[in-house]
Amino acid sequence: MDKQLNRIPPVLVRLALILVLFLFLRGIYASASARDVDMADIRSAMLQNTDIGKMKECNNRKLMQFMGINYENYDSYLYYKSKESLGVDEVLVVKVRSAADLDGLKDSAENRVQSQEKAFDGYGTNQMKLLANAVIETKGNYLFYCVAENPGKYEEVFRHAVQ
Amino acid sequence: MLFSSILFLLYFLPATLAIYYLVPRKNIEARNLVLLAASLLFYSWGEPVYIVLMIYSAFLNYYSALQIGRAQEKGRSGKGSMLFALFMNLLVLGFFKYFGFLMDTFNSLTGLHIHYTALSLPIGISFYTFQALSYIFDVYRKNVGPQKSFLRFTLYLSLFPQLIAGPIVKYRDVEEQLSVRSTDWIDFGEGTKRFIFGLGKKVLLANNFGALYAAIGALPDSDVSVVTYWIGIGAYTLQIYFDFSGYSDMAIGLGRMFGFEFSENFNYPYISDSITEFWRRWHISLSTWFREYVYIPLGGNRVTVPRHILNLLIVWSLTGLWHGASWNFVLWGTYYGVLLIIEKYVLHPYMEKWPGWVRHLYTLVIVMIGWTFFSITDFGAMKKYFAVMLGVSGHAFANMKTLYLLRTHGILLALGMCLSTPAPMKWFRERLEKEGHEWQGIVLLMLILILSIAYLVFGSYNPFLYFRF
Repeated sequence: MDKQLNRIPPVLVRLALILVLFLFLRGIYASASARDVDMADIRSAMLQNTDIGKMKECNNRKLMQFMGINYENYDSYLYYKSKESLGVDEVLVVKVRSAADLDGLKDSAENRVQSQEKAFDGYGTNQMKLLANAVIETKGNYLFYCVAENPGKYEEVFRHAVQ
Repeated sequence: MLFSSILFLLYFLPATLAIYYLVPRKNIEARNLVLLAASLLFYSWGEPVYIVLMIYSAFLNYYSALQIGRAQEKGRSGKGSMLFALFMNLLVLGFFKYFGFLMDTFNSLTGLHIHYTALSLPIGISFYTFQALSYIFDVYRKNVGPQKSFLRFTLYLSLFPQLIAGPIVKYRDVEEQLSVRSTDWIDFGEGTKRFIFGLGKKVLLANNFGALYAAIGALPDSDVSVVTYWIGIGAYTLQIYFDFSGYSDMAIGLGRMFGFEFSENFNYPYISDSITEFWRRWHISLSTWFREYVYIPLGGNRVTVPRHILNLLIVWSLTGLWHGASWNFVLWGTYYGVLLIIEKYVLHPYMEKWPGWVRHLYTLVIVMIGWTFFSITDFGAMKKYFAVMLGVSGHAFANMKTLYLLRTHGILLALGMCLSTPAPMKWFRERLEKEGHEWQGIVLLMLILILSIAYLVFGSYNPFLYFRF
């Protein structure tokens, strides 16, 4: 490899290195970015295209109670939760003011999954299955968290709404 | 993948060891290939896309070093290739680690709201970028020759025991081991012992101190008191030590199992008698990196006093910034820069006359205050924490919650303090490694291993502080 590389002019290799890095960073950035969309638009897309309407929309107090998230620290959110007391289905989308806040939100979602798993471990087979497929992702200035029968559908609608 | 995870302990490590040792000892290239494949798999577990970045970094630095070597063979310095590699490495690190920080700072200074996307940080990027830079600088300074084998160089950069949390291994320290290394049962046993001690430090101690610190941080205002917050930062002080030094122990132990000798990264920092001594004992591989590649090239201490002060402030601000893209880390680094300047130019003659316990207490208090800057990124919360610690917030000195915490965690805290000194290891070596007593040592190690795995299976609190760096 050493000798083969020696045959290529260094300027070309360096240009190729710059180009590859540029394309990689551009690709990574584009795939992680999101448009600045109003939460009302995301809610309406979710209501139209998913079963979120079968869940109950939760208020600021419930957001703090179940997720440990203080709504005042963020731009906006939507939080829906199963109407059944033993249901674990829930969907949360939070729009942050600063991207630096996303890590803390991700931790909150992970903690929520862990505490739910602790609560249902040993008797809630179906709940445990749903929790094992929980989706937690960040895109642009949004956090998306979902536990549901088909979390991929919710994720797809969310992605489409902010892409 | 974390070392302190069931996936690593029960599947990844045994499988890698088995395949590695199935390859004949003499076929070092095949063993290197096994380790490289395992390292890339280990790295790609969380964010597979960043494996591209790792291979890119390996090629960039491999090629640049070869170019430096060729230029030097022709009587030139190779400075152009060195600067190209430096620029590209810092560009990648800066883009992933500091882009969001710079945008946030810009937005808050200008009042603008420029929309941007913060990217997740590739795991271990700060560690492997610094390793790559040390290699480039060493080749440029002719301390080592460029590595001709891309496989060996990529293995050096991506070697999984030290990939995500150091120690920052200099290429010159492992150059020979990449092509010739022997592993016998003594090495393997010593490595296993070191790994188990590290695992125990991380899982049994750090995680419990972390849980205590988190619980105190979440207390309602009515339960807060001066002593409680000091207990909180004391718990964090122990957590970060056992967390990071435990991870370093695991890395050193794993390295030894595969025939690599990594330098020590911690040397009982909390027994230090001064801040200067503390930094000779804490995260040694990072301190020596900055000393060798930033502080000395800036002139070190062989310059005028104002210039020396400036050098120290530059090095320590950068040390802070290396730890995270946030102003609290810059503050933490600068805090140590200022303290080291004060120690060297003001306190030094007086400190020598202080009794040992005063010097020790002074160091511990300074370090604990430092961890307060380090652990709280939000300046409002940091101000509140300091106000309570200093007793100027109007909270009680101690209350029922303080007594409850001392009663429930007093033994754990005392154990942590004791285990952060060299005495327990000295006892282990003198008593449990003595001929005829080895079985006691083995029983102790097995106990630590079983308890750690049980904790990982049944517990859910397993953070890792240095993971994000």
